[in-house]
Amino acid sequence: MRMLKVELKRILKSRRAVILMIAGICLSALLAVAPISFVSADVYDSNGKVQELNGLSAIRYWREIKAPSNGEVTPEKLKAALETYQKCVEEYGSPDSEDFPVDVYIDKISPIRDLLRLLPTTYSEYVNGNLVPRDLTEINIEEVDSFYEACETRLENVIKVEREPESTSQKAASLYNKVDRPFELYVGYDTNAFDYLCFCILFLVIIGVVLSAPLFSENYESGADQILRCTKYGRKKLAQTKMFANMLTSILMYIMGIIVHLLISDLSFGTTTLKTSVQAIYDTISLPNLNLFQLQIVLAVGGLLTLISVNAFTYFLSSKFERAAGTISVSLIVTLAPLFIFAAFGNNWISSILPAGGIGLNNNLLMQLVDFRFLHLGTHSFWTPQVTMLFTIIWIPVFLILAVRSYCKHRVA
Amino acid sequence: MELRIEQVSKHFKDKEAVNDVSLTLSAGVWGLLGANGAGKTTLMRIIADIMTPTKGKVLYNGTDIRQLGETYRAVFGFLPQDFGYSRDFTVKDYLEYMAALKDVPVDLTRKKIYELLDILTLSDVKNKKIAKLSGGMRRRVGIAQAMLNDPEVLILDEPTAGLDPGERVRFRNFISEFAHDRIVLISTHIVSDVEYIATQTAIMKDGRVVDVGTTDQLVKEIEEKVWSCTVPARTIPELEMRLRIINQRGEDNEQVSIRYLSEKAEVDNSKPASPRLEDLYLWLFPNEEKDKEAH
Repeated sequence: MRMLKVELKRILKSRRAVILMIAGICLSALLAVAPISFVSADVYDSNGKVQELNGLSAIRYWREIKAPSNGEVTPEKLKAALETYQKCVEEYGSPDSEDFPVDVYIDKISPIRDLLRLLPTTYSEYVNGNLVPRDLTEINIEEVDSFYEACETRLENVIKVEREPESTSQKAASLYNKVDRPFELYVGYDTNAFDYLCFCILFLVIIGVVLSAPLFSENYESGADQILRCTKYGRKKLAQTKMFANMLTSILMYIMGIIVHLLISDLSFGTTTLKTSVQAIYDTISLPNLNLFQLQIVLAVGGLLTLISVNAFTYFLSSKFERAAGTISVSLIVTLAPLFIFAAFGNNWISSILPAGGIGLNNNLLMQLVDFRFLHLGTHSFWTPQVTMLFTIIWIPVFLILAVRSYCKHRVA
Repeated sequence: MELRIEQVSKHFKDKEAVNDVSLTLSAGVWGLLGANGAGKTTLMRIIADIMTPTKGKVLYNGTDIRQLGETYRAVFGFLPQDFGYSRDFTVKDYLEYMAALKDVPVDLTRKKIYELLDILTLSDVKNKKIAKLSGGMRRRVGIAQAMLNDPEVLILDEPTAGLDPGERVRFRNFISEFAHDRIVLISTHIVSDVEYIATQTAIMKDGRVVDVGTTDQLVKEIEEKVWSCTVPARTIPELEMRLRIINQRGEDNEQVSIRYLSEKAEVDNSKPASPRLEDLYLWLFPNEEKDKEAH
């Protein structure tokens, strides 16, 4: 405990560490504000004059306008929405055309737009090995009675199109069967906010790498290590304490960053919207049985595990490298490797089993969860986010143990 | 109390840094003299168990220090040649950190730190960052950390580098007092650091210990090899070409008094001079003499 205290005191008195931690928290706040600022709305006053709303006022405006969609996504509600849409099209033409009356659009279409969005892909047609989304005017209102059955059919079709093996079909069906139905929809949350949550996690992990990289290398570089490892507790206990204290600092920065980010984001978009099912905002065949609040928690916890895993890997590198710059470079390359490997090869084992498999852009945990991604080994299929998180967790003790062993075995060159 | 170095060798790719060194250190101050590159630092690192010897072992009270591990490190203090530290540490924070690592009892830590700060005249700078201190002060902080746990075995590699003459004298007196019932090994190429305080001195050359003994025993080896005489100043350039002059002092009437090393008297009127440890050092390390001249 005494060693932990002095090590924490050392870290917290380090200007570099404090600057990085503050930078992490500030960046988290900025990344939360960005998607809020992207929301805009054109509001027409009684004189027909357009007033542009941005940010919070736009979010509030849309929440009000779209309020009728809130609640359970029942077939009846979807039918009513589709009926309204088709009537409007009959009367005024396509809502996408410039001739469509703005007031009708605002009164009739805008309130149901988020419900309507669920239909074209759900009722997509299987044509020549492809799934083609149907136009809302082509969907028979009576068909919508079996909306949830249509979701299951689409899942089967996607498996067919992706040429997934039988094991994937079984696994996907078993996951999808657990999804609560009817879906819940509380409009207002912007999916951009989730993308920015993932950016935030990515940047916090990168800051964690920069914070962790010098752990041992810095002492090798400065020669301080020669003194430290000659002390009674200068080997295993020091290595464990240094890693634990650094991990605590990184975790503290991460948690504070995520809390700040989510507070800004959730309070701006509205906490009620978090009850929305993942399927109602992303894809009707998304496999996780989560609402947006639960998705945030899963992403935050997944990010935290990734941070711990990447830090553990960085400690190991730091125990090997004589220069902190070398540790940072290699660690950053490995941290960003899944992003580039995914970009080059698509969904694959390598990018999933690396310590940072859960962070990146199109490969991040959010995309793995909401997209349809499976990995195969022989006749077995594995859901990618499960593989990613499993390996993220496995690497933690592996690299922590290797780091301690490597530090203890380190000898002066 | 005994630290035994048994047939220790350390080979690097292109160099034999330490070659079959055996030495038994008992309580007292030990000097380890040698030119740069003689293998002193490598030997000290092996004794500190931060470098693995290619051959041989180091025993403390009969047990291999690698087996003793924590037990050995608990009674060990080390100041390496390059004193490294975290840049954000103040002197006091650093010593508190080291005290925790050395398991100095909490209730004694403060007293011990203040005592060492006082002895090493660092009290005024205790709240300053180490990085902002002068080289001499930093060296003293290094000495303080090495002594925090009252080590039974204290290894100091070039401890006086960067200290001014006054600080050197204070350091020597402090170490002399400290060394009762302890093994203190001081590596240096500054002969005066150990000449008056070392119980025994070992001399290393090209990775080997070439001589061990008390100052009196060691200097006996160059008795009748140190000469002094007075010569005209104009003859100095010529004498420098053929003699190993170790000291010269200007006298009246354009005369210069010189001390030189030679197997026999090479200049008329030469008289045998009483040898000092530094003479032996220069006898053994003629290149150091050239370095000294160059400086």
